[in-house]
Amino acid sequence: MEGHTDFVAEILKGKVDSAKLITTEGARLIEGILIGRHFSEAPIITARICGICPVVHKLSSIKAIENAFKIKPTRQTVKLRKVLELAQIIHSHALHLFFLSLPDFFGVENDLILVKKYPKETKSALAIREWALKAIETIGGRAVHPIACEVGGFKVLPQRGELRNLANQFEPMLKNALTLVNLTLKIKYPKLKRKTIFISLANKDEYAIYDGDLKILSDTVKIIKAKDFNRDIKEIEEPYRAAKSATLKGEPFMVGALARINNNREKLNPLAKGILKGAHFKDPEYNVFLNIPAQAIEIVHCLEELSGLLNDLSSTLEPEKSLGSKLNVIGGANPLGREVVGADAVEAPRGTLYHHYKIDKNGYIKECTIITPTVSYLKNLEEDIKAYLPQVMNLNPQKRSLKIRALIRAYDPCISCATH
Amino acid sequence: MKKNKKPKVAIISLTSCEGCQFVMLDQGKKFLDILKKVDLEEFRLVEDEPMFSDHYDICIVEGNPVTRENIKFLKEMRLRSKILVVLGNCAALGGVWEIKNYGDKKKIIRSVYKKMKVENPDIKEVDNFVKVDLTIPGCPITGEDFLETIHQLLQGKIRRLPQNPVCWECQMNGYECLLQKGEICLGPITLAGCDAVCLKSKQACWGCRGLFEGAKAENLMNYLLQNFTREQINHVMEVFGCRDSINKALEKK
Repeated sequence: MEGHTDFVAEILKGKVDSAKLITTEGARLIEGILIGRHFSEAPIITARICGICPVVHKLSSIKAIENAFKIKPTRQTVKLRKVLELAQIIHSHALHLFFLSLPDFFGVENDLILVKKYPKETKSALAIREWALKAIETIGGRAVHPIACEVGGFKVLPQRGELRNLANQFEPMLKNALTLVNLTLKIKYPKLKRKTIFISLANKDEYAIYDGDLKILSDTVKIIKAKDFNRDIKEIEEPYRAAKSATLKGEPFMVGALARINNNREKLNPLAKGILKGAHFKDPEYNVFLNIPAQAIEIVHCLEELSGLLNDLSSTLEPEKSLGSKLNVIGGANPLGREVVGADAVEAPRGTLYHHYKIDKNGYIKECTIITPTVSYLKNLEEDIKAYLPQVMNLNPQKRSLKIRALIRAYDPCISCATH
Repeated sequence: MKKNKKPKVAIISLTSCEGCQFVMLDQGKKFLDILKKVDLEEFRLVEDEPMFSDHYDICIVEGNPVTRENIKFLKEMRLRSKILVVLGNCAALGGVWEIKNYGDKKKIIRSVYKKMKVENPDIKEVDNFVKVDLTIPGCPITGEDFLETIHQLLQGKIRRLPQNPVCWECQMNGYECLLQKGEICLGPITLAGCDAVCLKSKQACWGCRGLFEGAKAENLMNYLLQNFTREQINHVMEVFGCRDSINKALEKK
């Protein structure tokens, strides 16, 4: 699990009744240290919140700052960013699915044993991760903490041929993805149904990942602007952990693959949609264990989407200068020359990720708020553990712990992101 | 019982983004091949309930000891380990969170937490707490550095990194010089080995791998001060925690 450790341990020690998740990751105070820094530092510094999803922090930060400065990136820039995001989701999901969550359901102690037991699936998971990482490296300059993307566009562009090579790998990667899908669909997941609110981006043109409004699905559907994310969603501090948590007007809510599928299932690409049909998800599906097959289905969707984008870009990519080429140096001017506020969200692998900045007239940051997916769903996770407890209460403590651990891992929590 | 002669290895993570561990994992098959040669007894990224051992041949530490719990764990692991390797910028130079050392710590924490009491120490590098035998630098580390260092370690050798500046690699690759173009670039004093990956993407070097031995910090500072304010230069040096080591190098002169 990313971030970990006592997060699980406290629960395993038997303090399950209160269903409090304790985090002991040290506070890095990212939002605090950004105050007084130049805006061009924000995408670089916030990427360091998380080593598994640096792409989405970087993009979320860039989009929020572009909104503040009223910079509209070119269509080509948006396409390239989408490639980065889709690849980010694929490699994060592949890691979580195969290496971090499946051992719980195959009765093996850890992932290293799983690797030995399922050589074919291991190969598929590794290959698909490698390919997605290669895509990020090609466009971003590096897989972990990509470099080339900045406010306004890209510092350098990839070659058409490089994109063509990636696109040519589509068929074998799809095969790998289907191997993982089959594995996740074979599992008999525990039954857990607790009504909750699902939140994700949504947009009329596509399965929203990079851009969209915020869709809030409860008994009704409400659409608000993504920049207003923190109008009704508030972060709370709790005395037992450094990670904050969030609620929507006091109610816990769910973000991530399951929320996205519940909100946007009709926008999935054809293959992914077909698999979803066969997976018998309810509408909406409340069982959070199904976040695991939901991630597998999203891998297929993202691959289909990437295939289209990569084919397109590999024949249309033109040299173009970043709109921010003069801005992104320390001390570079605020193009509007007055205090501005900007916010935006993207869909990170684990759910909606929100960045908000206030920037002074000289381009230095005055205020910063970052709400990560794990912060968003932490309360929901605690409620689900409470709801799940009666089912596992009669098991011996060790078995009970394993069951609860499996539930926590189905959420794919990232405590590095939560305690930023 | 069969006697096991493979070296015992622990990979631990303090407070960090865990990106360096992912670089390790991202080596894919090569990483799994290394695992075949060792007894990995502690690696919480993939294993939540590690067995605790009294003795490790190699302990790899990622991240920074931000909490008292982190410090305690680090010291315990040092006592149990023959060789301690630090992984990445957070462990070696403090990480981006070291920025707070140069500001008002109390004000910074209040801008994040309104009421919560959260540990808020000055950020210090791992070698302030325990003896460090080897450093794999960078934010993040490079896969090549990791594989080569561990490969040599398994043969009983302590790898010494070639002491060259990033500029050297930048020029070998024929990338545009951003210092000459008018940006603050720490390439002339920063330890090479990253293949000037940032310069490839036209991002100036901000020193994440730290200074190389013999770096002439004062020359670069004098040059930069002709075109930039000290505050601007400080900002760049602070992001990856090298302001303190550059200042130290300047004081020595």
